[in-house]
Amino acid sequence: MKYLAIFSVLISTFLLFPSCEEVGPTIEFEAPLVDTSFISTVIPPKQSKVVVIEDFSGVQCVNCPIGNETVSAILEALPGQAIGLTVHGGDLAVPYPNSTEDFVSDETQELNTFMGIVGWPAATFDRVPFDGQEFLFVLGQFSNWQAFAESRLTEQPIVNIDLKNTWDEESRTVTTEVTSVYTEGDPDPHKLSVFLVESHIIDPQLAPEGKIDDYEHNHVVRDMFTIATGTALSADAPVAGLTVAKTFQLENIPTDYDMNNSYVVAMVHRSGESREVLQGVEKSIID
Amino acid sequence: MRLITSLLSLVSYENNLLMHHNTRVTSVLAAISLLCLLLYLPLSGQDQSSPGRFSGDIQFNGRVFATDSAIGAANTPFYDWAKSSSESWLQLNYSQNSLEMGVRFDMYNNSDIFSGGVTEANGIGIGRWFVKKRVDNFTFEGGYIYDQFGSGSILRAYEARALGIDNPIVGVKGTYDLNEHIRLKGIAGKQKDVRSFISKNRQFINTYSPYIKGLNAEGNWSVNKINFSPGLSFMNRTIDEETMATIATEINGQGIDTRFVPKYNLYAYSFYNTVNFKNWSLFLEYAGKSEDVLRDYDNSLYNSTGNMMYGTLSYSQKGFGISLAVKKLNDFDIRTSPLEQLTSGLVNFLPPQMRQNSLRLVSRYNHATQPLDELSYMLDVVYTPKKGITMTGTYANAENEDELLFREIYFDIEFKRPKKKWKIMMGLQLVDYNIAVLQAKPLEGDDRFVDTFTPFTEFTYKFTRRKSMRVELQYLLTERDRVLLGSDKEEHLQDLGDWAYALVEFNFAPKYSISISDMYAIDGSEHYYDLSASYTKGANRFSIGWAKQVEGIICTGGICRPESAFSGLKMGISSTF
Repeated sequence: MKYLAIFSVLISTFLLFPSCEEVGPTIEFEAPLVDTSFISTVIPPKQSKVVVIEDFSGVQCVNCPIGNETVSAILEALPGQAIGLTVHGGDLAVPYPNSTEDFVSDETQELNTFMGIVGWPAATFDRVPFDGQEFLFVLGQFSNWQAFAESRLTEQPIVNIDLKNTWDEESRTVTTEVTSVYTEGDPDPHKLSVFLVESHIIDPQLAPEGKIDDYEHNHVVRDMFTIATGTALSADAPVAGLTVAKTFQLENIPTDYDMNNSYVVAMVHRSGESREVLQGVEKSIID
Repeated sequence: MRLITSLLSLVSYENNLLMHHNTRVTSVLAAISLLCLLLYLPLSGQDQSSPGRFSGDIQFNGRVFATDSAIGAANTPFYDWAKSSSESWLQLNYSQNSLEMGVRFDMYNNSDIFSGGVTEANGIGIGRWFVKKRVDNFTFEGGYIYDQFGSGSILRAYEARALGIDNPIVGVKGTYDLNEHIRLKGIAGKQKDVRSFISKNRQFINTYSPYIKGLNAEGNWSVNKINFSPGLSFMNRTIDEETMATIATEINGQGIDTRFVPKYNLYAYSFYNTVNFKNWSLFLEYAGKSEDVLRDYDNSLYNSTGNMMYGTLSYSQKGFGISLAVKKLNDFDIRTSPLEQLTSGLVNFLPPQMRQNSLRLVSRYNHATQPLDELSYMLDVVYTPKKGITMTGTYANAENEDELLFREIYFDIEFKRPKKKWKIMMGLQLVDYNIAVLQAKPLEGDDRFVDTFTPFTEFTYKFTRRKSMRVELQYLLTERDRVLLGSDKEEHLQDLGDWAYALVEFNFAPKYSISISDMYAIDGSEHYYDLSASYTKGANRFSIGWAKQVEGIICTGGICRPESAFSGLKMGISSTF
């Protein structure tokens, strides 16, 4: 009887484990509408460097408004040279009962995991590590954020990115054409991430002075045209002149998303050991 | 127990040190600590009632490289600048009553065993340590653990030095004898990553990131002269997030229609049983696994469940033995992750259905188990019609869904008359070797096979009780079907063509042995000489030789790896104590 019980436990173990469901990594099952590439013999001049700041936030994160304000101040100080993305995710991003919006999506959650965020507010500046920092992201330390962003502007981008958006009100569909042109080659594989971003959203937010019900949320990542970790730009290492044109579409965009306050952000980044963002670009959806 | 705790804390201390100090210095400190502890134990009086016992072994291989462009022994780091290489393993064991512990010092200096002579590997440090203690029916072990569940079809942690395979589980193991019939075993840990051990980022403990754990139960009963040995095993491997991110990136780079969501967890199980009745023995095993990421022959990732069926039936009586083995494999490659290839990260072991040949040309073309798709079987017969005459025959066949992979027909007969000074063995081997699949090396035209015909003989003559001479003669003919059987196949060189081999060896038992051999490439007009000598005294053996070796495939138990040509001096020392 004793042995029967032991073997029953063993057999149960065998059967129990495989029945456990698991959440796998994000795999891209939809191809871009258009995906073409060619190598041009004419190398265009380099664009000016644009730094991408990802501000990891949450509506119940008391210090996150400081992070939001710091990013807004940087964008004001560096017009046309910096892009802000507010990425909601993690334990402190659960909406309040009176929230009308949930800024957390599968993509923003995965970005938190992908960047290894362990606290909020946190920020990345082109996803590169800075001296004295333990992680790829910066936890707090708001007074250093502008210096980190400015330090990235000394880099010369090796890829130019152009965006063209079209909006179809009837089907509430955004179509975005992203053209990446390499001005230099690089041995690393690169990826392209494309975000749908909205500003001026009024919804509750915890702040040091207490909960603010009419807080203005800016640069909020609403959705992504690509998977969270980006879509591969080309199968081979890029060479100078490589031109990759990809067209993506987001359909049935919720009616509460205000397209007048929305824009598309695209960035090309490394996808090997380094995750460095090489260049970013933003463009409004409705001119 | 206090001593075990001391040892573990020492190791832990060294590991912590590693985080702040130089790796090599720390590894040396760790080695010294472990050795000191081993030396301390006999004096410490852990249990004065029974004296402790030291045992161990050492193996040293050394090579000096001499460039020979004609055979391809050139233009690698070994011939360009390294000029010499060595590997050494020193194992020290200590046991006292129910306590066992051991430590192994590994050294690779510009070693060529991991790459098959392509790139040099360097690593010095503790390659293994373990502590094992038995308390009543329960035995537990911590450290680097070599073990396997059943035949190893879902889990085998083992070492094959010639191939650079060293994949113990670094973790813990517990074994519990439920009674005299049933033994339970559990193991958990991570597989040693020997490639990290030989890298510049070497740590004191080097493992793959995925986590492996398993359970095994085995029994043994006899009922009315029928003996049963059943067993069941379960194994789970969990891929870590960083490894999975790399896998996901690769999947996202594939065509849309070939993409899938990979699983972090692999679950594998096996049921097996051996039944012995009089002269008969039957072994049956079925193993299966859940969905897992696999790599196909085109280097693309795909998702599949897998299974394995294996059975052997044998009969033996005086003067006669016969055995039949059948194995079917379907997507049954189990590794720490699909990012590992060739001999890296192997979690299970699937032996090939082929003879383990030792003669040089007879063993030139070996089958490598194809875990993704293979049906193989082997029939072995040994017959001794009268004393002094032994005949051996083998028929082995392996194929996948599309084509034949390997076929071997082998026969030898040995005459060893009582009280005669001589012994002679002669035989014939026919092999069909799918070189396009097994070496990814297609031949000219549409031909995918090397088909061989290899007659061989071995003659031994005893001058005196201590002095003897052994002669081997072999000839490997390729294009057998065209040359001998009149096939209308187009004439072209198969692999490196025909070979002839001769060896003369003198033995002065029990100490000295000297041999000279030549493997001659008929089509390439190249000689591959080998002049070797060895000296054995007690448990010590020293050998030295000058050799030229042809490039090819080196296999151990169905695991194969390409091997570059070699020219130079080889030395070896082995000892046990």
